[in-house]
Amino acid sequence: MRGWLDWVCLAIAGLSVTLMVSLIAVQLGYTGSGPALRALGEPDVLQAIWLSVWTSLVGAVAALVLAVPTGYALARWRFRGAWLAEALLVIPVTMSPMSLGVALLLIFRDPPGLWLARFFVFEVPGIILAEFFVAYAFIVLVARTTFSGIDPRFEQVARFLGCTPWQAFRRVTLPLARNGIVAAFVLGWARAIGDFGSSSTLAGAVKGHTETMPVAIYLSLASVSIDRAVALSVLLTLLTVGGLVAVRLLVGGQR
Amino acid sequence: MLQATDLVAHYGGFSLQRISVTIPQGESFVLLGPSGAGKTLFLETVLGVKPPDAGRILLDGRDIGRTRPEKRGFCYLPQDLALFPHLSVRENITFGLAVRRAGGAAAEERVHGTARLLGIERLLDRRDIRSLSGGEKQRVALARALVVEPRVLFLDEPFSALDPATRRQLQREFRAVWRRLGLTVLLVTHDHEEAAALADRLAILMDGRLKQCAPPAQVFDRPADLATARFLLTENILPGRLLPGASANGSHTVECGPVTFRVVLPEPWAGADVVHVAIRGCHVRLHPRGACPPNASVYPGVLEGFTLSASAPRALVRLAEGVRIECGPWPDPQALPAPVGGDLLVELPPERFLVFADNEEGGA
Repeated sequence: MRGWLDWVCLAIAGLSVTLMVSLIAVQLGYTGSGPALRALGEPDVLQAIWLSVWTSLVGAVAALVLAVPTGYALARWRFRGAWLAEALLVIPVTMSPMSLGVALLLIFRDPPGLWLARFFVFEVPGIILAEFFVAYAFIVLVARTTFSGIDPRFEQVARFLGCTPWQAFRRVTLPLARNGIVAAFVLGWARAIGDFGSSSTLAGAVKGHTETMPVAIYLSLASVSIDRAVALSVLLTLLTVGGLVAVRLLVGGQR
Repeated sequence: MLQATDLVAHYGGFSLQRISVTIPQGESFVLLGPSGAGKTLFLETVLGVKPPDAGRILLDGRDIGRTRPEKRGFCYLPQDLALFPHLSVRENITFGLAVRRAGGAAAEERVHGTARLLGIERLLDRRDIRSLSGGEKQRVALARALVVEPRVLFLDEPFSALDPATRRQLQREFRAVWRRLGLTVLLVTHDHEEAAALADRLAILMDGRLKQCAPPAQVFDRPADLATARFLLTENILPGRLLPGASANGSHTVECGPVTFRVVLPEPWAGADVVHVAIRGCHVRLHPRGACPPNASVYPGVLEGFTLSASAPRALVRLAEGVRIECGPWPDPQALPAPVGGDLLVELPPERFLVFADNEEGGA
């Protein structure tokens, strides 16, 4: 039986969806679909798309690999100062992306970071590193919440059925956490692929070298190529939305 | 044989106080206690989920205190059963075999044999574990545990979420399965009926202390102290005063308000004179007025009515103002020797009385 509260919530949800769709619609309305399709034929745009996709995937996967055990540890272990550890781990979420970029840049100012600077500062691995930090914090947050929602009793029972701790995690906890971890990864990846502030601060906005999609949008705006900037923006939005939908379909999480 | 010796464990501000139990091979051992008595803490400590602060846990004489859970040869059915929701019924049951990489015809036969034993063969191909009824989930969880042939099966109030009829049926069936397989079982519960139905031996745990350990009939008939008697819902607990002197047959007199009862004191008796006496309803006999059995301790009373109970109604007899005795269970109220409001004689055998010194309340 639906009450007035359900209808109010439904109306708010509908308005929210409309608002989000309008973000794409206004961009398409500004340029039409022509410039976006035309931009897809430009080699430097394709290069920016490719750079964005692979760097964000590498950054997000690396973040996933570290964030899942971290989230699990935070969910399962009760220790003094756990809240502080959690707060520190999600600093990249609370920091401005630019500040994160500056902090990363400063890491490479002195040894031993200085020895690695040539690999990261104004270089493509710098993009990956910045995107890793951005994605990691999101994935840790969602993973911890996911693992907290899984009764540790499942693992205990699995242990008594013969599982080692790793087997219990792999055979029971991980499958139960699958949807949450996928959601965490997708959120982290979407955040990484759209990152501009931290990655451009560390890796620079070098055309044709560290030119990801957000950098390409920035460079287009800087050269007053508004149509191109909007077209690239539409492409980036469609890319992330497409990625989200594809992942949901792949893991069967759709309803 | 499973042994826990002087086991001490704590959780929060609560602790188990030097618990020692020995469970022979093939015994169904039930730990009964009220909520918060430390039953689950004891279970989890023996299982190895929580480390003990002191004491030893031995399996067939071997100290397993430092043995990893998966190497102990135990299986565990928690209260919520913890069936794996991402696996089908078959995958749940074969989980332990898959971990051991035991496959092939022999494993398949073991799965089918266990499913047949528990009457769940038709459920093996069910994909969604959530579609099972409460009783079916119990059977699947037990099957999952049995296929790995555990040395000891641990159960933590496994039937508590079931309706009474299903609970009774499963208790009977599970006990028959355990006996048939010669399985050693350690079950914890707060349900007296369940404990009586499933135990070869019954231990009472209260406030982290083991109060008593004996066959169920003996525990219910002779609770160790007043607190245990109250927990076991022993009927007719009355405060009184032990009068000095004994009769020729060795019985004593306890004054409970206007009524004095002949009782036999337990050995050894501490000598307290402020006591509680109790007598279970099933040991009380009713006779018509004027039909006094020879040499019996009988008391005149008036049948007041019946206590409310669907399964075991008891007659309520007033011996004097403020002194009432529950008698029964009395399955057929028509068979009572007097109508409601009528006079009768109540026989209270002295040797059936439990006498607790008042300083036994806490079991000290």
